[in-house]
Amino acid sequence: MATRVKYDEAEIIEQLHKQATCRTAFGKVIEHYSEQLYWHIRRMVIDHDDTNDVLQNTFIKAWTNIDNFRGDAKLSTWLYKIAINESITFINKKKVQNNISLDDDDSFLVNSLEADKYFDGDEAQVKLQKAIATLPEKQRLVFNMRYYDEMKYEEMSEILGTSVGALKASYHHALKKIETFFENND
Amino acid sequence: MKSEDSKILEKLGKNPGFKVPENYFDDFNAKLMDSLPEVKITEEEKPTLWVRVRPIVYMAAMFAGVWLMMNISSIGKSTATGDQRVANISAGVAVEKNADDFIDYEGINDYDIMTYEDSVSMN
Repeated sequence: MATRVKYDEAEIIEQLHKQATCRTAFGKVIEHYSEQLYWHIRRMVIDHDDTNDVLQNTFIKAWTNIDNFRGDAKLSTWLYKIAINESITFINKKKVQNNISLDDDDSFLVNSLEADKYFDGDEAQVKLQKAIATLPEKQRLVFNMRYYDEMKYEEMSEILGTSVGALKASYHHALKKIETFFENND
Repeated sequence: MKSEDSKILEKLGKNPGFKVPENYFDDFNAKLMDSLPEVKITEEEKPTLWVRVRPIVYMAAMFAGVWLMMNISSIGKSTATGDQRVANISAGVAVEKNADDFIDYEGINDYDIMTYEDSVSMN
């Protein structure tokens, strides 16, 4: 495993704005955020290879737009926003390829989960992923960020541009729907 | 956090069962760095000396302008005093002219003037 270097966000943002140091600084950003963004994207698109593509697109988009990032928001907030947009764009493209209406839920993503070589969850885990996939996109995002990432509502609010109250309500609705799904599929 | 989760989720735990290939993140980071295109960064220029001192110069110019305006008005006042002096000189010239006219009209000669001046100095 490569040695992890010290990560100082303020210093890295300063380096990102200089031609001579921006590439090295972005390397540190990739090293620091790739894993957490990977898991966030993976929970949205489910498949490992698809996640790999979306994660790559996320960082390339961030890199090509790095000149527009002035450091007003946190780097993590900016990267999460790009990752979410890229994930939703990818899911919508996949729906079009599979002749699925854009208004339908994302259940199709979980259909081949059990056959995925990069999944070793049990039956209950598959069921939970199926339940999460029935949620509307925004509720899915809120549920994943809160339940798996244990992200604070305030941080989620900055990323999703939604009030804390609305996010709490969204998470509550998501929990109820998941419980109902489990009750109906016992 | 636990209090807001359902009993079902508490039983399942937080591992969704997803895996990644061995050394995936290290390989991903290295491959991605190699594939990044060149980008042009617009570096913020350091402010020049002129940009830094400009506000001070503008303030100084403003105060100088105010000072000049105040002094121009006082110069105006001294000009008025000068005009008054000119007016007084003109008035004096006019009095002398009137005296000459009077002397010519009354036929007063040098002897009369000397007698008048002696009588004034005697008093």
